[in-house]
Amino acid sequence: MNNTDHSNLVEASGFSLRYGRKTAVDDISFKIPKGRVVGLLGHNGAGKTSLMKAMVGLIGGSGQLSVLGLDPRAQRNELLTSLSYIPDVAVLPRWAKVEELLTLMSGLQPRFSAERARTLLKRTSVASGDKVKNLSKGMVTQLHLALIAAIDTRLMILDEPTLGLDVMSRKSFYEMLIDEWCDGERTVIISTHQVEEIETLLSDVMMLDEGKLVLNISLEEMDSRFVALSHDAAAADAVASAHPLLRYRLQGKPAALFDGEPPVHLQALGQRFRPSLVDLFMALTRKPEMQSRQA
Amino acid sequence: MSTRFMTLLQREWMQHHRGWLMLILIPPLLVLLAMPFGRVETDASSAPTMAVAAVALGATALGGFGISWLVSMFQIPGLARRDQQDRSIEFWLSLPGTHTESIAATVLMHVVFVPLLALAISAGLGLVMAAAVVIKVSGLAALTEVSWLGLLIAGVVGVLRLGFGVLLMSLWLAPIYLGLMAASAWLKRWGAPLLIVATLIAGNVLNKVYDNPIVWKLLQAQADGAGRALMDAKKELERTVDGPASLPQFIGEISSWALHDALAALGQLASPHLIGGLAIAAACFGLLILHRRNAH
Repeated sequence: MNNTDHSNLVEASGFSLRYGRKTAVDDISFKIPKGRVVGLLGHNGAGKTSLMKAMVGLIGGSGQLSVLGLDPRAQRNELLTSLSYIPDVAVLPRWAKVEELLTLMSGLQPRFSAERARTLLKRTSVASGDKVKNLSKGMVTQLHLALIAAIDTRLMILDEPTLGLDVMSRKSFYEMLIDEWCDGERTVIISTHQVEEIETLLSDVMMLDEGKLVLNISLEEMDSRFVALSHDAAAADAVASAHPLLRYRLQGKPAALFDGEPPVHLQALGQRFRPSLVDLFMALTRKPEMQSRQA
Repeated sequence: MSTRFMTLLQREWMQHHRGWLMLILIPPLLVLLAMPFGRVETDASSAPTMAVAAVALGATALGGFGISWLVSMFQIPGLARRDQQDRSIEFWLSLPGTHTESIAATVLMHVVFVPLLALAISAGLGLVMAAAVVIKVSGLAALTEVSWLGLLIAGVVGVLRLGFGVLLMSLWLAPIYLGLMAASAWLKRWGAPLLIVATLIAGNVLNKVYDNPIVWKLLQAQADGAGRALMDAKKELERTVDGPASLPQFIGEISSWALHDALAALGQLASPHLIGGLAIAAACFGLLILHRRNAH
């Protein structure tokens, strides 16, 4: 692990993770450099949470995984002082007051700044005397983000941080994240189902499907690599014969998504456009048998 | 102690201090409030006022300590699953800190520090209780018959001896409370009852069917060791203090007694029962760590 390239904050090589017979993460390899906002996308059970837990050393796997140059499992304690992490079912202790949490974080996390957390909390409606149990779910999530964003680290891992929040709370959460934490040097990895909401924030996207990494690409590359074509119903057979990744409807019109340039003879039959991340997500992670049934 | 460990202890205080303080303060305060309206039964003719004050002080200190210790013992199995039950475990696991530190802080706070705090606060309240009882039994003027400085010194010495005893007693009882915690962690709410029932069944079967009372002997050895560690290691107290009249003399010699008693309790640690118990406790602690490692 010590010969890891330190310009990458996270590196995996042939990494797998199993729960008994079930494979949660299947032989994946990737590198995440600094200054990126990475979306980790996948259906329920795709392996996102398992991968994130492995990144913070909560579970071990086989193959190589290095986070901030450390072995997450063997050097978990050291690693947790150097990264910020919100787990998927994180519940702040309900008995605690906000000020008590600041005190506890100051004692437990050497890179935590209570002053910074207080500054971040001024953006929210959470007061220092509030008890967690009296806060709404959105306020608790904002508080949690303020706490971990006040840790001076280079890597933040967020596992479904806005699950169950209303749209306003989700928007506030991501605004605070981008405004207050992302500075071009730090990297954040976000797993979420709300793909369409974070698309504009992301610099890179990783898609997991049944434990396999089916896509690991920057948004710029995605724009140049994947092409969508909206076409008339009359051209449907011709488009289908070109085996697109996905056939779907956009604003009532048939459309198809291709990995690479569509055949030249098809380009004249429709109009090219940039596919959304949601469409690409559907194309790469939906079961082929379902696709053929619904197309 | 490291800042992190101190913070973990502080977390226990933040979470539980209200309950602890209520438990320690409310009973003696209720007794004090009720005193003007109640009666204190004492044989005033044979009991010197100093002895009455000493008994009130001792009873208050031991009562407060005893209640707090008993409640801690009832609570301790549940502590093994506390953070899972309130669903905050993922938050705690997302912060730096070893599993050993986290579990040790919880156990140390509940088993050692809280009873010590209860002892110290109750002893302080015991002085107030002593004054109130003396006034109630013999009138305001009787307060001058008590050597308050002597009583204070005796109280401090007694607290120090009992405090040291709490530390040693915790070692003797470690296999019991860590066993209950491990059972509760792995078998959830049925863990502690199952462990108790299994011990009872095993003890009875071995004793009655195989005529081998080893379970009872082992438990008795741990309980006896814990009792001696807490106080009166050489079982001499009953002979030394054979009545209220001898109490003032004992108070005068309490420092010497406490020192010798503490040394005797320390010497009794060289026991195969204690070492065997600590080995079981270490195994149970390991089970708690294993459970916490997988608690996500």
